[in-house]
Amino acid sequence: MRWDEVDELLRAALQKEVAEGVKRLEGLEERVIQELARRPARESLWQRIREFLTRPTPRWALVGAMAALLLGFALGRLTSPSPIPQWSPNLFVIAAPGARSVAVVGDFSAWQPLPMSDPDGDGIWTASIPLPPGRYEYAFLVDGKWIGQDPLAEEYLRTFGEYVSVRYVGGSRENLSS
Amino acid sequence: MKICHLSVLFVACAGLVFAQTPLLLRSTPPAPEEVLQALEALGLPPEFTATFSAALLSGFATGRATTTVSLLLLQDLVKLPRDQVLECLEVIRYALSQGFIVDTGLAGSSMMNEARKFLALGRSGEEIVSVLRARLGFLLATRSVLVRSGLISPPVMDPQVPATSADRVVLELAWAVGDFILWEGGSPGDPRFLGYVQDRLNRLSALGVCPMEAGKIASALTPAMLAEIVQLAFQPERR
Repeated sequence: MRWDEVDELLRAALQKEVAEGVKRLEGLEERVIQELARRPARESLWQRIREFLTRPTPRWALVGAMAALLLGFALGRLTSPSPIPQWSPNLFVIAAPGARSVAVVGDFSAWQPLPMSDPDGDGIWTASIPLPPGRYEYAFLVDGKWIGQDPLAEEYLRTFGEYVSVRYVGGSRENLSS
Repeated sequence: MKICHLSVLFVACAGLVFAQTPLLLRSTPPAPEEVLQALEALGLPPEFTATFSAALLSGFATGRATTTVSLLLLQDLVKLPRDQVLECLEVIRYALSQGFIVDTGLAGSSMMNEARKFLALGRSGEEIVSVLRARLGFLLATRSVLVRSGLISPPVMDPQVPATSADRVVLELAWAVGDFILWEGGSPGDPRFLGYVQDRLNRLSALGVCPMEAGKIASALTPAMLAEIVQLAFQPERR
Protein backbone atom coordinates (compact mmCIF):
# COMPACT_ATOMS: atom_id res chain seq x y z
CA MET A 1 0.00 0.00 0.00
CA ARG A 2 1.22 3.38 -0.84
CA TRP A 3 1.70 6.19 1.60
CA ASP A 4 -0.96 8.39 -0.02
CA GLU A 5 -3.48 5.51 0.27
CA VAL A 6 -2.62 5.08 3.95
CA ASP A 7 -3.05 8.80 4.46
CA GLU A 8 -6.50 8.68 2.87
CA LEU A 9 -7.61 5.75 4.99
CA LEU A 10 -6.48 7.50 8.17
CA ARG A 11 -8.29 10.72 7.22
CA ALA A 12 -11.51 8.75 6.51
CA ALA A 13 -11.25 6.94 9.86
CA LEU A 14 -10.71 10.19 11.72
CA GLN A 15 -13.66 11.84 9.99
CA LYS A 16 -15.85 8.85 10.97
CA GLU A 17 -14.65 9.11 14.60
CA VAL A 18 -15.34 12.84 14.68
CA ALA A 19 -18.80 12.36 13.13
CA GLU A 20 -19.71 9.74 15.73
CA GLY A 21 -18.18 11.83 18.53
CA VAL A 22 -20.23 14.84 17.62
CA LYS A 23 -23.37 12.75 17.98
CA ARG A 24 -22.26 11.72 21.45
CA LEU A 25 -21.43 15.30 22.38
CA GLU A 26 -24.87 16.50 21.43
CA GLY A 27 -26.82 17.30 24.65
CA LEU A 28 -23.80 16.42 26.79
CA GLU A 29 -24.16 19.54 28.94
CA GLU A 30 -27.82 18.77 29.64
CA ARG A 31 -27.04 15.20 30.42
CA VAL A 32 -24.32 16.24 32.86
CA ILE A 33 -26.66 18.71 34.56
CA GLN A 34 -29.38 16.07 34.82
CA GLU A 35 -26.93 13.58 36.25
CA LEU A 36 -25.72 16.09 38.84
CA ALA A 37 -29.29 16.93 39.76
CA ARG A 38 -30.10 13.26 40.22
CA ARG A 39 -27.15 12.60 42.53
CA PRO A 40 -27.60 13.76 46.14
CA ALA A 41 -25.30 16.48 47.32
CA ARG A 42 -22.31 15.24 49.39
CA GLU A 43 -23.23 15.54 53.08
CA SER A 44 -21.04 17.17 55.65
CA LEU A 45 -19.71 15.14 58.59
CA TRP A 46 -22.22 16.78 60.94
CA GLN A 47 -25.06 15.94 58.58
CA ARG A 48 -23.92 12.35 58.41
CA ILE A 49 -23.73 12.12 62.22
CA ARG A 50 -27.17 13.64 62.49
CA GLU A 51 -28.44 11.22 59.90
CA PHE A 52 -26.99 8.32 61.90
CA LEU A 53 -28.53 9.53 65.12
CA THR A 54 -31.97 10.24 63.75
CA ARG A 55 -32.30 7.32 61.35
CA PRO A 56 -30.71 4.36 63.06
CA THR A 57 -30.66 0.89 61.74
CA PRO A 58 -31.55 -1.82 64.26
CA ARG A 59 -28.05 -3.28 63.98
CA TRP A 60 -26.34 -0.01 64.92
CA ALA A 61 -28.89 0.64 67.63
CA LEU A 62 -27.98 -2.72 69.18
CA VAL A 63 -24.26 -2.01 68.92
CA GLY A 64 -24.85 1.42 70.43
CA ALA A 65 -26.86 -0.02 73.28
CA MET A 66 -24.15 -2.53 74.11
CA ALA A 67 -21.47 0.15 73.98
CA ALA A 68 -23.60 2.45 76.14
CA LEU A 69 -24.16 -0.31 78.65
CA LEU A 70 -20.45 -1.02 78.88
CA LEU A 71 -19.62 2.67 79.12
CA GLY A 72 -22.26 3.23 81.76
CA PHE A 73 -21.04 0.26 83.76
CA ALA A 74 -17.40 1.37 83.48
CA LEU A 75 -18.29 4.92 84.53
CA GLY A 76 -20.35 3.58 87.39
CA ARG A 77 -17.50 1.43 88.60
CA LEU A 78 -15.10 4.35 88.39
CA THR A 79 -17.38 6.77 90.19
CA SER A 80 -18.65 4.29 92.77
CA PRO A 81 -18.17 5.85 96.22
CA SER A 82 -16.60 2.76 97.73
CA PRO A 83 -14.95 -0.34 96.37
CA ILE A 84 -17.46 -3.06 95.64
CA PRO A 85 -16.88 -5.87 98.09
CA GLN A 86 -16.20 -9.25 96.61
CA TRP A 87 -19.07 -11.48 97.66
CA SER A 88 -18.15 -15.11 97.93
CA PRO A 89 -20.41 -18.06 98.66
CA ASN A 90 -19.90 -19.45 102.14
CA LEU A 91 -20.94 -22.93 102.97
CA PHE A 92 -22.40 -23.53 106.39
CA VAL A 93 -22.62 -27.20 107.29
CA ILE A 94 -23.93 -29.03 110.33
CA ALA A 95 -24.63 -32.67 111.01
CA ALA A 96 -28.11 -32.96 112.50
CA PRO A 97 -29.54 -36.40 111.74
CA GLY A 98 -33.23 -36.65 112.43
CA ALA A 99 -33.71 -32.89 112.75
CA ARG A 100 -36.92 -31.46 111.36
CA SER A 101 -35.68 -27.93 110.79
CA VAL A 102 -32.20 -26.45 110.78
CA ALA A 103 -31.28 -22.82 110.28
CA VAL A 104 -28.21 -20.64 110.52
CA VAL A 105 -28.31 -17.25 112.25
CA GLY A 106 -25.60 -14.63 112.36
CA ASP A 107 -24.47 -11.06 111.88
CA PHE A 108 -25.07 -11.57 108.16
CA SER A 109 -28.78 -12.12 108.72
CA ALA A 110 -29.16 -9.73 111.68
CA TRP A 111 -29.73 -12.96 113.62
CA GLN A 112 -32.79 -13.92 111.64
CA PRO A 113 -32.95 -17.67 110.90
CA LEU A 114 -31.90 -18.61 107.37
CA PRO A 115 -33.18 -22.13 106.58
CA MET A 116 -30.65 -24.85 105.75
CA SER A 117 -31.46 -27.87 103.61
CA ASP A 118 -30.78 -31.58 103.53
CA PRO A 119 -32.12 -32.66 100.14
CA ASP A 120 -30.69 -36.22 100.23
CA GLY A 121 -31.81 -36.82 103.81
CA ASP A 122 -28.37 -37.92 105.04
CA GLY A 123 -28.55 -35.65 108.08
CA ILE A 124 -25.99 -33.16 106.74
CA TRP A 125 -27.66 -29.79 106.50
CA THR A 126 -26.13 -27.08 104.38
CA ALA A 127 -26.67 -23.47 103.36
CA SER A 128 -24.58 -21.46 100.94
CA ILE A 129 -24.65 -17.77 101.76
CA PRO A 130 -22.86 -15.15 99.70
CA LEU A 131 -21.02 -12.73 102.00
CA PRO A 132 -18.65 -9.82 101.58
CA PRO A 133 -15.29 -9.98 103.39
CA GLY A 134 -15.55 -9.58 107.13
CA ARG A 135 -15.73 -11.18 110.54
CA TYR A 136 -19.02 -12.92 111.22
CA GLU A 137 -20.48 -14.38 114.37
CA TYR A 138 -23.03 -17.13 113.84
CA ALA A 139 -24.78 -20.14 115.29
CA PHE A 140 -27.12 -22.90 114.19
CA LEU A 141 -30.69 -23.51 115.27
CA VAL A 142 -31.49 -27.22 115.24
CA ASP A 143 -35.21 -27.69 115.86
CA GLY A 144 -35.08 -24.33 117.59
CA LYS A 145 -32.13 -25.28 119.83
CA TRP A 146 -29.09 -22.97 119.77
CA ILE A 147 -25.92 -24.74 118.61
CA GLY A 148 -23.10 -22.20 118.87
CA GLN A 149 -20.01 -24.34 118.37
CA ASP A 150 -19.40 -25.10 114.72
CA PRO A 151 -16.40 -27.46 114.42
CA LEU A 152 -15.45 -25.54 111.27
CA ALA A 153 -15.35 -22.17 113.04
CA GLU A 154 -12.12 -20.24 113.51
CA GLU A 155 -13.02 -18.91 116.94
CA TYR A 156 -15.76 -19.10 119.53
CA LEU A 157 -17.19 -16.49 121.84
CA ARG A 158 -19.08 -17.40 124.98
CA THR A 159 -21.79 -14.88 125.75
CA PHE A 160 -24.13 -15.31 128.70
CA GLY A 161 -23.29 -18.99 128.76
CA GLU A 162 -24.04 -19.56 125.08
CA TYR A 163 -21.43 -19.94 122.39
CA VAL A 164 -21.30 -18.27 119.05
CA SER A 165 -18.92 -19.30 116.30
CA VAL A 166 -16.73 -16.83 114.43
CA ARG A 167 -15.74 -17.03 110.82
CA TYR A 168 -13.56 -14.65 108.82
CA VAL A 169 -14.68 -14.38 105.22
CA GLY A 170 -12.27 -13.33 102.49
CA GLY A 171 -9.03 -14.69 103.89
CA SER A 172 -7.59 -17.14 106.32
CA ARG A 173 -5.19 -16.62 109.19
CA GLU A 174 -2.53 -18.51 107.23
CA ASN A 175 -2.95 -16.29 104.17
CA LEU A 176 -2.72 -13.15 106.22
CA SER A 177 0.38 -14.17 108.09
CA SER A 178 2.21 -15.39 104.99
CA MET B 1 -34.84 12.07 69.18
CA LYS B 2 -36.18 8.71 68.13
CA ILE B 3 -37.43 6.14 70.61
CA CYS B 4 -34.55 3.88 69.63
CA HIS B 5 -32.02 6.37 70.90
CA LEU B 6 -33.92 7.01 74.06
CA SER B 7 -33.60 3.30 74.71
CA VAL B 8 -29.83 3.51 74.16
CA LEU B 9 -29.68 6.34 76.68
CA PHE B 10 -31.80 4.33 79.06
CA VAL B 11 -29.50 1.34 78.76
CA ALA B 12 -26.50 3.56 79.52
CA CYS B 13 -28.21 4.95 82.60
CA ALA B 14 -29.17 1.45 83.65
CA GLY B 15 -25.53 0.41 83.42
CA LEU B 16 -24.50 3.40 85.51
CA VAL B 17 -27.09 2.72 88.17
CA PHE B 18 -26.37 -1.00 88.21
CA ALA B 19 -22.67 -0.40 88.77
CA GLN B 20 -23.33 2.12 91.53
CA THR B 21 -25.64 -0.09 93.52
CA PRO B 22 -24.40 -3.63 93.31
CA LEU B 23 -25.70 -4.57 96.74
CA LEU B 24 -29.09 -3.03 96.25
CA LEU B 25 -29.95 -5.77 93.82
CA ARG B 26 -29.24 -8.47 96.36
CA SER B 27 -31.77 -7.14 98.86
CA THR B 28 -33.60 -3.90 98.88
CA PRO B 29 -33.18 -2.20 102.25
CA PRO B 30 -36.34 -0.86 103.85
CA ALA B 31 -37.16 2.82 103.49
CA PRO B 32 -36.45 5.09 106.49
CA GLU B 33 -40.20 5.77 106.73
CA GLU B 34 -40.78 2.08 107.36
CA VAL B 35 -38.26 2.16 110.21
CA LEU B 36 -39.92 5.24 111.71
CA GLN B 37 -43.29 3.48 111.53
CA ALA B 38 -41.83 0.57 113.49
CA LEU B 39 -40.52 3.06 116.03
CA GLU B 40 -43.95 4.67 116.32
CA ALA B 41 -45.47 1.24 116.83
CA LEU B 42 -43.43 0.82 120.02
CA GLY B 43 -45.64 3.43 121.65
CA LEU B 44 -42.83 5.28 123.40
CA PRO B 45 -43.24 8.86 124.71
CA PRO B 46 -43.66 11.22 121.74
CA GLU B 47 -40.71 13.43 122.81
CA PHE B 48 -38.38 10.44 122.91
CA THR B 49 -39.73 9.09 119.63
CA ALA B 50 -39.05 12.44 117.98
CA THR B 51 -35.52 12.67 119.39
CA PHE B 52 -34.70 9.09 118.48
CA SER B 53 -36.15 9.50 114.98
CA ALA B 54 -33.92 12.51 114.35
CA ALA B 55 -30.84 10.67 115.61
CA LEU B 56 -31.68 7.60 113.54
CA LEU B 57 -32.27 9.57 110.34
CA SER B 58 -28.92 11.31 110.81
CA GLY B 59 -27.38 7.90 111.38
CA PHE B 60 -28.83 6.60 108.10
CA ALA B 61 -27.61 9.66 106.24
CA THR B 62 -24.09 9.54 107.64
CA GLY B 63 -23.43 5.80 107.51
CA ARG B 64 -23.68 5.20 111.25
CA ALA B 65 -26.84 3.08 111.07
CA THR B 66 -28.71 1.08 108.44
CA THR B 67 -32.41 0.76 107.87
CA THR B 68 -32.18 -3.03 107.56
CA VAL B 69 -30.87 -3.78 111.04
CA SER B 70 -32.70 -0.85 112.65
CA LEU B 71 -36.05 -2.10 111.39
CA LEU B 72 -35.42 -5.66 112.57
CA LEU B 73 -34.29 -4.44 115.98
CA LEU B 74 -37.26 -2.14 116.48
CA GLN B 75 -39.66 -4.89 115.41
CA ASP B 76 -37.95 -7.27 117.83
CA LEU B 77 -37.93 -4.88 120.79
CA VAL B 78 -41.67 -5.37 121.30
CA LYS B 79 -40.65 -8.54 123.17
CA LEU B 80 -39.18 -6.38 125.96
CA PRO B 81 -40.94 -4.32 128.63
CA ARG B 82 -41.46 -0.72 127.58
CA ASP B 83 -39.02 0.83 130.09
CA GLN B 84 -36.25 -1.50 128.94
CA VAL B 85 -36.97 -0.69 125.32
CA LEU B 86 -36.59 2.94 126.27
CA GLU B 87 -33.27 2.28 128.00
CA CYS B 88 -31.92 0.29 125.03
CA LEU B 89 -32.86 2.97 122.57
CA GLU B 90 -31.52 5.74 124.80
CA VAL B 91 -28.08 4.10 124.82
CA ILE B 92 -28.19 3.83 121.03
CA ARG B 93 -29.40 7.42 120.68
CA TYR B 94 -26.60 8.68 122.91
CA ALA B 95 -24.02 6.70 120.96
CA LEU B 96 -25.31 8.22 117.71
CA SER B 97 -25.24 11.71 119.21
CA GLN B 98 -21.59 11.13 120.09
CA GLY B 99 -20.80 10.21 116.49
CA PHE B 100 -20.32 6.48 116.98
CA ILE B 101 -21.29 3.86 114.42
CA VAL B 102 -24.08 1.80 115.99
CA ASP B 103 -24.79 -0.50 113.09
CA THR B 104 -22.61 -1.78 110.27
CA GLY B 105 -25.44 -3.48 108.46
CA LEU B 106 -25.18 -7.20 107.92
CA ALA B 107 -21.38 -7.24 108.05
CA GLY B 108 -19.75 -7.40 111.44
CA SER B 109 -20.65 -6.58 114.99
CA SER B 110 -22.13 -3.40 116.32
CA MET B 111 -24.52 -2.22 119.01
CA MET B 112 -27.73 -2.88 117.09
CA ASN B 113 -26.59 -6.23 115.77
CA GLU B 114 -25.50 -7.30 119.23
CA ALA B 115 -28.89 -6.36 120.66
CA ARG B 116 -30.47 -8.48 117.93
CA LYS B 117 -28.18 -11.37 118.83
CA PHE B 118 -29.18 -11.31 122.49
CA LEU B 119 -32.85 -11.01 121.62
CA ALA B 120 -32.40 -14.11 119.42
CA LEU B 121 -30.75 -15.83 122.38
CA GLY B 122 -33.73 -14.92 124.50
CA ARG B 123 -31.77 -12.79 126.97
CA SER B 124 -33.62 -10.39 129.24
CA GLY B 125 -33.99 -6.70 128.61
CA GLU B 126 -31.83 -5.93 131.67
CA GLU B 127 -28.98 -8.01 130.30
CA ILE B 128 -29.26 -6.39 126.89
CA VAL B 129 -29.25 -2.90 128.39
CA SER B 130 -26.21 -3.72 130.53
CA VAL B 131 -24.29 -5.04 127.50
CA LEU B 132 -25.19 -1.99 125.43
CA ARG B 133 -24.04 0.31 128.24
CA ALA B 134 -20.76 -1.59 128.52
CA ARG B 135 -20.28 -1.34 124.74
CA LEU B 136 -20.94 2.40 124.87
CA GLY B 137 -18.36 2.68 127.64
CA PHE B 138 -15.78 0.86 125.50
CA LEU B 139 -16.55 3.11 122.53
CA LEU B 140 -16.13 6.30 124.56
CA ALA B 141 -13.00 5.05 126.30
CA THR B 142 -11.39 3.78 123.09
CA ARG B 143 -11.89 7.06 121.30
CA SER B 144 -10.67 9.01 124.29
CA VAL B 145 -7.43 7.00 124.54
CA LEU B 146 -6.76 7.06 120.80
CA VAL B 147 -7.27 10.82 120.62
CA ARG B 148 -5.07 11.42 123.67
CA SER B 149 -2.37 9.23 122.15
CA GLY B 150 -2.52 11.24 118.94
CA LEU B 151 -3.46 8.16 116.90
CA ILE B 152 -6.69 9.72 115.64
CA SER B 153 -7.95 13.29 115.40
CA PRO B 154 -10.55 14.57 117.86
CA PRO B 155 -14.05 13.81 116.51
CA VAL B 156 -16.21 16.46 114.89
CA MET B 157 -19.29 16.38 117.08
CA ASP B 158 -21.75 17.09 114.31
CA PRO B 159 -24.43 14.47 113.63
CA GLN B 160 -24.54 15.54 109.98
CA VAL B 161 -20.88 14.72 109.30
CA PRO B 162 -20.48 11.35 107.54
CA ALA B 163 -18.78 8.53 109.42
CA THR B 164 -15.02 8.48 108.91
CA SER B 165 -12.45 5.71 108.73
CA ALA B 166 -11.39 6.71 112.25
CA ASP B 167 -14.96 6.02 113.45
CA ARG B 168 -14.70 2.52 112.01
CA VAL B 169 -11.33 1.92 113.68
CA VAL B 170 -12.77 3.08 117.01
CA LEU B 171 -15.71 0.69 116.58
CA GLU B 172 -13.59 -2.34 115.73
CA LEU B 173 -11.02 -1.66 118.45
CA ALA B 174 -13.70 -1.05 121.07
CA TRP B 175 -15.46 -4.24 119.99
CA ALA B 176 -12.30 -6.32 120.20
CA VAL B 177 -11.51 -4.92 123.65
CA GLY B 178 -15.10 -5.51 124.75
CA ASP B 179 -15.17 -9.08 123.44
CA PHE B 180 -11.95 -9.89 125.28
CA ILE B 181 -13.10 -8.43 128.58
CA LEU B 182 -16.81 -9.31 128.45
CA TRP B 183 -16.81 -12.70 126.73
CA GLU B 184 -13.29 -14.12 126.71
CA GLY B 185 -12.99 -13.76 130.45
CA GLY B 186 -9.88 -11.65 130.03
CA SER B 187 -8.54 -9.00 132.37
CA PRO B 188 -6.70 -5.76 131.58
CA GLY B 189 -3.40 -7.28 132.68
CA ASP B 190 -3.82 -10.48 130.64
CA PRO B 191 -0.69 -11.10 128.53
CA ARG B 192 -2.92 -12.32 125.64
CA PHE B 193 -4.85 -9.05 125.53
CA LEU B 194 -2.62 -7.03 123.20
CA GLY B 195 -2.11 -9.92 120.76
CA TYR B 196 -5.85 -10.62 120.65
CA VAL B 197 -6.72 -7.02 119.80
CA GLN B 198 -3.85 -6.53 117.35
CA ASP B 199 -4.63 -9.77 115.53
CA ARG B 200 -8.28 -8.79 115.13
CA LEU B 201 -7.51 -5.31 113.80
CA ASN B 202 -4.83 -6.61 111.45
CA ARG B 203 -7.16 -9.25 110.04
CA LEU B 204 -10.00 -6.79 109.48
CA SER B 205 -7.59 -4.35 107.91
CA ALA B 206 -6.18 -7.03 105.59
CA LEU B 207 -9.72 -7.97 104.54
CA GLY B 208 -10.48 -4.37 103.69
CA VAL B 209 -13.23 -4.20 106.33
CA CYS B 210 -11.23 -1.81 108.46
CA PRO B 211 -9.28 1.04 106.90
CA MET B 212 -5.56 0.51 106.37
CA GLU B 213 -4.67 2.85 109.23
CA ALA B 214 -6.17 0.23 111.57
CA GLY B 215 -3.01 -1.82 111.04
CA LYS B 216 -0.83 1.13 112.03
CA ILE B 217 -2.97 1.83 115.06
CA ALA B 218 -2.80 -1.85 116.01
CA SER B 219 0.99 -1.80 115.96
CA ALA B 220 1.04 1.42 118.01
CA LEU B 221 -1.12 -0.06 120.78
CA THR B 222 0.49 -0.93 124.09
CA PRO B 223 -0.73 -3.01 127.02
CA ALA B 224 -0.93 0.21 129.04
CA MET B 225 -3.25 1.80 126.47
CA LEU B 226 -5.55 -1.22 126.48
CA ALA B 227 -5.59 -1.28 130.28
CA GLU B 228 -6.49 2.41 130.24
CA ILE B 229 -9.37 1.77 127.82
CA VAL B 230 -10.81 -0.87 130.15
CA GLN B 231 -10.36 1.35 133.17
CA LEU B 232 -12.06 4.31 131.50
CA ALA B 233 -14.87 2.14 130.13
CA PHE B 234 -15.96 1.27 133.64
CA GLN B 235 -15.15 4.64 135.18
CA PRO B 236 -17.09 7.18 133.12
CA GLU B 237 -16.12 10.03 135.42
CA ARG B 238 -12.46 9.68 134.34
CA ARG B 239 -13.04 9.77 130.55
